[in-house]
Amino acid sequence: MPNTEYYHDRVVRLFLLAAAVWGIIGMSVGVYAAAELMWPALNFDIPWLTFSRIRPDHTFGVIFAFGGSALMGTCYYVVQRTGHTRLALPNLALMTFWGWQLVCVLAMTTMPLGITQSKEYAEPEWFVDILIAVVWVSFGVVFFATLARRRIKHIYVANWYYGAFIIAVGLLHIVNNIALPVSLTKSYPVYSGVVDAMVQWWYGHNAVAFFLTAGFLGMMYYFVPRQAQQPLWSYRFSIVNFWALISVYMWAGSHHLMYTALPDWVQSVGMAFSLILLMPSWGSAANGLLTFNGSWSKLKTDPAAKFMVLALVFYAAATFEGSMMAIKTVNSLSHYTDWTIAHVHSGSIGWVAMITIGSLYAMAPRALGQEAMYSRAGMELHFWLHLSGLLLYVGSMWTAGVTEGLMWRATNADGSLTYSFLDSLIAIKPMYLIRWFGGVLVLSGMVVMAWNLWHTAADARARLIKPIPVPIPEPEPHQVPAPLPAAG
Amino acid sequence: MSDVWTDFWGHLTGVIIVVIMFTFICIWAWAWSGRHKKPFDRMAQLPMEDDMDHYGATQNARAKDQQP
Repeated sequence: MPNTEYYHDRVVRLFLLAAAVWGIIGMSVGVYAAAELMWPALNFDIPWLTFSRIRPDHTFGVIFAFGGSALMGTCYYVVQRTGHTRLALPNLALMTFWGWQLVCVLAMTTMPLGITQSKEYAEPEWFVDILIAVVWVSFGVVFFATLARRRIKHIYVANWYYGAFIIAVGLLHIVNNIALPVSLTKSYPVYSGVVDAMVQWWYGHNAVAFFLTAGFLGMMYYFVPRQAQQPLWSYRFSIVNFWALISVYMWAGSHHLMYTALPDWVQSVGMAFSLILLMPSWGSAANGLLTFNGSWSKLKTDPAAKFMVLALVFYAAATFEGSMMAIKTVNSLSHYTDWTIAHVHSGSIGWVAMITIGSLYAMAPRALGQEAMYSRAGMELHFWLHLSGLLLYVGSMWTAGVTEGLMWRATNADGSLTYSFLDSLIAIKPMYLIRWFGGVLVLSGMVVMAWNLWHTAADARARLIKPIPVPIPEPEPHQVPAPLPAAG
Repeated sequence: MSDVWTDFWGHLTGVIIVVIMFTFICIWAWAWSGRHKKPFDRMAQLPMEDDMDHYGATQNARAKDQQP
């Protein structure tokens, strides 16, 4: 057919490669940081190798470099497939790829040198922040311009989540990083004191909400039905969940500042909204899981489906745990302990990484022009490495966290503390060893995935694969916007 | 003076709660309205079409969709 347009999958393939590479880098840094907690001599007294300097490299590496590359890649894939159109502005899309890689490299080389704003999850200094804003706005332009040229009237629900992810993360990033630069490597935020803390945690919590939840729910709402080969359990329910989730999440950030100088009523608002948040969270988890009804047998044969189902189980578990931890009395036990670390990793290794890995395994063969992944045994091995690593990690950190919480609050009859801080450190030391080993298993799984993707991409590297034509549907009557002609 | 403000805030939060509840019910009604059934069913099929290899296959799927 002469008048055919093709899906623009090159940028998708680049992001797929970047996700695999950054996943290994980000998790390696995490494993090293965990090893330093177990064997402190491992920092060799080198400033840039100390825990405090490499910890932001781990979080930035896994959240923004690995997660961000996977989100942008799948977003470009999904918006084309669900709109029956090729990507608008393919050159700008390619710019977002190189721009994002530059952001990640700059951030991860400057932070260990101590060039940091010291805002958690927003550590990079002002010049990196400006670059992030430019790349992010371009990403939004490509996404919404592609939506505008879609050939299907309604916007598939996954795109609603991707759209919310793009708009909200842009807003959060810009507002939280308003700062006055005093030199190339140093700036001061315009906020101060408790206002700075509130803005930071409004950002920090919504980075969880819109980066680590809404974005990955976009992935989930497309790749779960695709892998189950069944439509969503309830499409209508997914829409109600969308509006509930995005309207409630914005107000929950103050639960990070319980028992601080923040006004008490603001803390209570955060707690109340965190509890309400359980409903839309479980709504999406249930919708995803029930989509597998009737195709549970796929779990026996398809490791990608296994990753997705476990991701949804951990999504439900981590959001339940999060709501509980936002209750003030629970928070007084859990806060500042390793329970928080357990919670964030059950969310990130459990929900975020597993839905990402499942979706990458679902998308990669198609984007790389193959029938299936190179090695199914490799996927199977990855699943079991990842799952056992995850269970060891969160199990050990839950134990450590509750131990710390109980020891720190224990008092003698005369009111003095029963245990010193050192007592609690000694008590949890074995847990730090188990956590490190769990991390090693998760990291090994990522290496297996990279190996598998590398072999699946053999034809793509040799430029043997053909672009996939866009199916051009019959125009619907009264379609708004008017359908585009077949020629792209 | 402070009583007036307390009353005002009480009424304001009350109004906001009613408005938000009403919006929430409207979203349910919008999602469940009969006229959205067909397009939503069509939307729900979109992820499965990606496995069909070519233009022709997708066209066949569409033809099937359009049967009563």
